[in-house]
Parts: sequence; C-alpha cells; structure tokens
Amino acid sequence: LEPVRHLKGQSIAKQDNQGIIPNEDHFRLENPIAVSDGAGGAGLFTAEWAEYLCNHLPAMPIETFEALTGWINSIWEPFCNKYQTVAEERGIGAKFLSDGSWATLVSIWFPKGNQSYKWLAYGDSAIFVFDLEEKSLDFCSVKDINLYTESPYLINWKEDPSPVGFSNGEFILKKNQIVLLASDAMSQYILLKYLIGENSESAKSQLSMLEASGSRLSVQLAKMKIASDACDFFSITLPELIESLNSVECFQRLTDKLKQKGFLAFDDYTLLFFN
Amino acid sequence: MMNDITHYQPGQLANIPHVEIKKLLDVALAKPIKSNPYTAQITRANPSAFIFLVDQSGSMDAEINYIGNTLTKAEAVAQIVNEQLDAMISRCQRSDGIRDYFDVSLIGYGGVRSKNASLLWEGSLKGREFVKISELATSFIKEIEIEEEKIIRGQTKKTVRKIKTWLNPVANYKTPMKSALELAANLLERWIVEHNAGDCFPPIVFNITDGVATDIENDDELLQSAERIKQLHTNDGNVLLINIHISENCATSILFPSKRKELPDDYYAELLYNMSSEMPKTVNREIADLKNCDPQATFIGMAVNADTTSLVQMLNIGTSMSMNQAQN
Repeated sequence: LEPVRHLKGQSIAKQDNQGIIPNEDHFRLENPIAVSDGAGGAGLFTAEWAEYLCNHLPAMPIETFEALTGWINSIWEPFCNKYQTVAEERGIGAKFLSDGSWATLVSIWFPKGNQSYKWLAYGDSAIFVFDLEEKSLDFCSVKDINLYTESPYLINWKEDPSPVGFSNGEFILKKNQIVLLASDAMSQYILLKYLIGENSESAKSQLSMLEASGSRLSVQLAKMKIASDACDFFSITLPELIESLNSVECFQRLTDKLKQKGFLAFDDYTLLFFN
Repeated sequence: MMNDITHYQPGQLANIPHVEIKKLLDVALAKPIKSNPYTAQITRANPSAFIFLVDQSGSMDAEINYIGNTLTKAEAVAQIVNEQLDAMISRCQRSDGIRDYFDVSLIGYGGVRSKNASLLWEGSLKGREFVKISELATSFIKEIEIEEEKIIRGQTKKTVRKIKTWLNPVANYKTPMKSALELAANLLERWIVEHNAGDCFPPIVFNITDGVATDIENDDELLQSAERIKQLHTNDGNVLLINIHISENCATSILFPSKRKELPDDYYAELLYNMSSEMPKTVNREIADLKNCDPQATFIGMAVNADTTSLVQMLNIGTSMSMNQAQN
C-alpha cells in the first residue's frame, strides 16, 4: 500500500455543563483512512467498537457487501468476548448482549500508482469530493441531506449488516479536487452549507423538503440560511474547515463557534482532509 | 441590563411558596415557543421529563390479558410501567455509566382512602417528586436476577438479566383523576421554571386509567385540569398529555384518533379526546405505521378501550419522541 500524503484530521468529544463526554468517534490516518462514529444512543462500548472497526480494516479494499459481511464475521468475536467480560463486571452484560455495539464507517483505500481510490460507506458518516476550481461537489456518499432526518444504518458486531446500508465505489482524484471524511454532525454542516450556496434544482429540492420536515436539522438550516456568509462555501467555509485541522485547539475553536451559532448539533465532531 | 432568565438547580424551588413559583412561571411561559417545536436535543444539561399518572382505583382489580397471562389491570399496568422505566434506564445507559437525560415522576390516584393523588416512589425515593434516571437505576423496591442464554452468530452466551420493580400493583377505592392532573401540573410548573434557561424538549404526561374521575362535579373541571397541563410549555413546545383508557373489552379500541368522528359514540371517549394533546408531527410516521394510515394526518394522544398491547405501543411511541432526541 502507498503511504498517504497531504492528510490531516481531528476529532473532539462533545461537552456539556458536567464536563467532557467520552468521544464515540474514531478516525484513522493510515491507509486505509477511516472515520467511524459509535452510536451511543443504542448499545454499549460504541466508542470502543468504532475504534476496533478502524483498527481492524483489511489492507485490501472491501468492494462488495459480501466482503463487508465476511470481514465483520472475521473480527466480531474477540471484541464481543473482551467487552462482555467488562459489561458483566459493571452489571450491564444483558444489555450488551441484547443491544451489541453500533457504529457507522467510511473508509478510503489509497491506490498504488495511478489506480483509483476505493471507498466504502455504511451509515451517515460521509465522504465528500470537492473540486476547488469548478467550485463543485463532485461526490458525496450521502446522496440527500434529508437522509439525516432518518435513523442511520449502523454496523453491529452481533448481527449481519444490511445491504441497503452499504455503498462503495471508486474515484480518481484530480488535481483540483480535495476529499473530506466526516462524522454525521460535521457532515450535516458541510452538506447544508454547500447546498445553501448551490443553485441547482436538486439542491433547492433537497432544502425545501428539509424545511418542510420540521426536524431539528431544518432548524439548523434556517439559522444557516440567514448567516452573512451563507453562500460563501468555497471562499470561506471550506478553507476555514481545512485550516482548523492544523491543531485540535483550532478545531475546537471552530466547532465551538459553529455550535454557538446553532450550525452544529450537539455531538462528537470528526473531520479528515486529503488532497 | 438585567438577565431575566435564571437557571435554577433541580429541587431548588421545592420550598418556595406557590405564589412565588407562579411569578417565576409567568416569566418562563413568556418565552415563546420556537417555530419548529419538539426538536430540542436532550442532553444532561437540557433534560426532559416524564410523568406517569396511574389509576389505582378499585376497578383496577378486574382481570386483563398481558402477553398471554391473566393479571389484574393493576398488575398489568404496574408491570408495564416498570418495564418502561427499565427501558428508559437502558436507553440512558452508556458503557461508563448512566446519563441523566430524563426526570421521572410517578403519581397514583385511588389506592389509598384519600381524595388526593399521591407520589408513588417508595423506599429511598419516597416523597420525591422527580427522580433522575441514575437514581432510578440504583433505587427500587426489589430486583430479581434471571440467568439467560443468548445465541449470537450461532454461539451461546450466558448473562444475567436484572428485573427491577418501582411500582407495586394497587387496586382500591375511588378515582381522583382531577387531583392527579393537578398534582402533575404543580410538579410541571416547578420543573419548567427550573429548566427555563435551556432548550428543553417538553415533558410528557401519561395518564393510564380504566374509569371516570370521581373527584369532579362536572367534566369541565377535568378539562380545566388537563388544559392547565397542556398550556405549560418550554421553548421547544407544549407539555404533552396522553390519556390512555384501558379495558378488558378491547373490541372497540381506538388509538391516536386523527378525527373526532373516529371516536365511538361515547361521551367518555369525547372527554378524553378533549383532554389530550395533539401529537407532534415528528412522531407521525410511527403512529401511521401503528394504525396503517396516512402519516400526514393530525393525531390526538389518547386511547379508549385499549388492551395491554396497545398500552405498551402507546407508551413506546410516546417515550420514543423524547428518547430519539437523546441520542448523544
């Protein structure tokens, strides 16, 4: 495998008035790069499961749903055994076995030479490919912002994944393109911000459907639309996001600012960048 | 400039006279409801609340079926409420502990020879109004452990399941439902004042009953008490009052009616309809799936002649509204 270049990423945990809550996101900056978002709303040891998924990705790309299922089948048991012991000690063994552990996963395998990049996505963490010259979103693994108003597909060690939740593909990275990988809250912000500044029928249709949904994300959209820099995605938003990845402090400052404006949901935030 | 929003600590208002609470409540209720209600994220800083009003009158000793067993209605309701409380704990359970996303209150009416409803927490929680989820997890009347085997990916795993009890079945005396609604309104007023500073998903009140109120002269009194609850609000929406009438005769069961004409020709069904809240649109899909109907409709949070399965379904849908806002 080729080493990864021009790559940076940050992840920070959510924080409330009682302190920092353990980060349930995990990311990996070695080839294959990955973001996994442990879903704390269901299941246990979700942060550990997200980390486990990232750390046990195969060296060769997962290119079919059967390959995904086979991979999970090959790695689930040591995780289950380890954390069942911990869960039983804490008196939560029954919940652990009943609910398992849930996480999203997006991953990209870097090619050798001039080959294409192979990617997989399961759940609502997202991969974005932007063209800075054309000022366009050339690819997003989440096809419609409205998918964020539904429960995400998640990988669990205790059962086979659903083929509906799986998507994969490949792309060749052009000179002016950059790639972002993000967990859900950050992905929502990026996609919303892009769509607000985009004039296509598809963007308008997605946003009007979201506005009609009455969902929490529609509240976020309303706040973002009236912001002074609402339409400056390529000149302000994207450079600001990439710059923030230079240090965890920068990333914290940016996410704090966006959260304060109501542009980010209360969540862990993870973002990876490469070009 | 003075900041008119004060963040009170839970319990801080317990000893403040009611007249003072009313003044603070006026300030809290002056805060407008946002344009997209029922969308607040529930966090430890901005929790939500549930109140269960449980009819414990004498008629609750009639028999009803619950998952294949014949129980008294009081036994079935107690078991179902205990299961709901356990499910709430489970949803708030994380690997490193329990997150206090909800405050819970349990109010009984009937049961004791009194005209007044009463708080039902027992043991170390006795006398408490709202209890945090983490407190529920460690304070209960009894706990039994059951050894279980689960098959996971073809492999047998052994574990121990713990079944906790907070509510004992009681069926005695009359049905002072108005008193229960008034007590709930009093608790909610304080809760709303305490949580006025945050973006809080509004509390949900479940009233589980098998009969008519015996502490009123006319229906208007009950409607006024229900209205007192429904008019309370956080910035994220009005408090929701869901009235569930259970019956061993479920042939004419109506859940979440969308129109008044769906109701049976029964004044009591009409009364419950008028007492109950309109459900938020955010839960329309689940209700429409349950009823196999158009999700664009407006649904009222009530049931008449519900069997125990319907009671569980309604509680599940009602609690899921909040649970789904507490993902992080």
